[in-house]
Amino acid sequence: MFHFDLILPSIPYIISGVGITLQYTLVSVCCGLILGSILALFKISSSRILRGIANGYTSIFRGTPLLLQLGIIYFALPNVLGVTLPPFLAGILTFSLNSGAYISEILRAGIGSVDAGQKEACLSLNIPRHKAMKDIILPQAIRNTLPSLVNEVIDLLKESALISIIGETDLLRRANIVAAEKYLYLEPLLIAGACYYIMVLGLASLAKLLEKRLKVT
Amino acid sequence: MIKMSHISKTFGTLNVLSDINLTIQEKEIVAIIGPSGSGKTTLLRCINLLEMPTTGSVTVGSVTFNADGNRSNETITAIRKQIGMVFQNFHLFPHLSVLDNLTYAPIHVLKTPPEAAKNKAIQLLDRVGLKDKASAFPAQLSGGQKQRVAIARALAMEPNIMLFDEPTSSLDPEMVKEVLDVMKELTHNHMTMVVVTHEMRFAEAAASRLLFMDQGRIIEDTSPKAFFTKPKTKRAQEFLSRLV
Ligand SMILES: Nc1ncnc2c1ncn2[C@@H]1O[C@H](COP(=O)(O)OP(=O)(O)O)[C@@H](O)[C@H]1O
Ligand SMILES: [Mg+2]
Repeated sequence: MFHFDLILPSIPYIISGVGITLQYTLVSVCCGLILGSILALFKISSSRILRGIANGYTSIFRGTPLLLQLGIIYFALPNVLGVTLPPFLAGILTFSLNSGAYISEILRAGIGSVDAGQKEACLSLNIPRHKAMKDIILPQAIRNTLPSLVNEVIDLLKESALISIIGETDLLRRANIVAAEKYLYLEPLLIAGACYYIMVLGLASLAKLLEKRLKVT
Repeated sequence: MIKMSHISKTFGTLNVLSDINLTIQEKEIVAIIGPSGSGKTTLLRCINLLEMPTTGSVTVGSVTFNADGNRSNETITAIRKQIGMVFQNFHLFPHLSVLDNLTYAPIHVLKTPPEAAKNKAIQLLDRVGLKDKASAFPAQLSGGQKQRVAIARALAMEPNIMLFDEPTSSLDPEMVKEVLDVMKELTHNHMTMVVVTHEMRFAEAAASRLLFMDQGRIIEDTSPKAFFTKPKTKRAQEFLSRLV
């Protein structure tokens, strides 16, 4: 029924897509974390304008499909601005902008979950507001929201498959290429699927481990 | 040293403090007692402006905060600089080691060189009997140990005044003494202290002055000895009779 033997020589080719997929995910998550932190700070700031910007931004990026955002940045933006982004950059940019919106919501809730006493301790010690936020409140907010943040990474990892549409040879795209070459669809997809699944499981158990360690300290 | 004039505080329509006038001299050890909800915590928090008084003025050292005048950030900072505060629930930074809890503010606020801040911190930990816990995290400490670290953290900023808000109220009974011992030791060290407490024996033994609060007012301001042998007001008599 299965004919893995027919695609045996192509299996390493498919699996090496893991690197590209991971690269996309990690770079996007890092940029998204930075952007998300900034947006979260906007959301809790006393300035109505900053709050408006951050809330509007989040609303738009959460309210439209990721695939559409990718299409606009990769296909439509070049028409308007006259610059063509290579697929890698367009992909990273889209995922970062998108995950920034989700992460900002996660962090905003996380900042709210940090005990008010922490802020008061900072005030009583005269720690300036921005330092208190950066060194005392945000680290605790990130820790409190670690499970949600890992979920976001997992979502991003799976959604990164969208970049195959703009021609990047990630895990899914490689599976499709092999499938087209061999006229054999199920097997390459199963292999790619197994790779995704193992990565997701890895991330989930990494998160469990981190949570356990953070609980001790 | 501390002077509060015509301080009142309202939360919405709730009058929590009414026309408080209070002067505390240098090196006084003041215990504040009174029923729950009488405004003790709010009074304490008005001294270092964690709570902004609705009316009146607070002078600490040579700096004056005025509810309807000078309430600039510089004023607030200059007042807080002179004051250390210890909370009922410690509020240690859970993601920092004990040592980092003590050195963070000196390094980032006072700009003390890290090495000097560390030496000072170890000295303070030694003073509260927790030198061996320098690398532990708050979650690994007992309540009594946490509160002693919190005291050391406040002392690391070299305040002249220490405020304590029920420092032993969330501790198991067997840990109360170790914290009170540290506080007693502080009273011998030229520190001005204001302590909200339910530990009557501590108030009697360590305080030089006792304030009894009820419904947002200081209704007795006397020596601990006089208060415990013969409280003047009916409310204080009732309060004390309910304790035993
Ligand atoms: N932030 C606040 N908002 C509204 N009410 C408050 C706030 N803080 C304290 N109160 C109220 O003020 C009163 C006095 O509180 P508090 O100063 O904590 O009293 P105590 O420390 O003597 O128990 C209480 O009725 C309390 O509910
Ligand atoms: Mg209280």
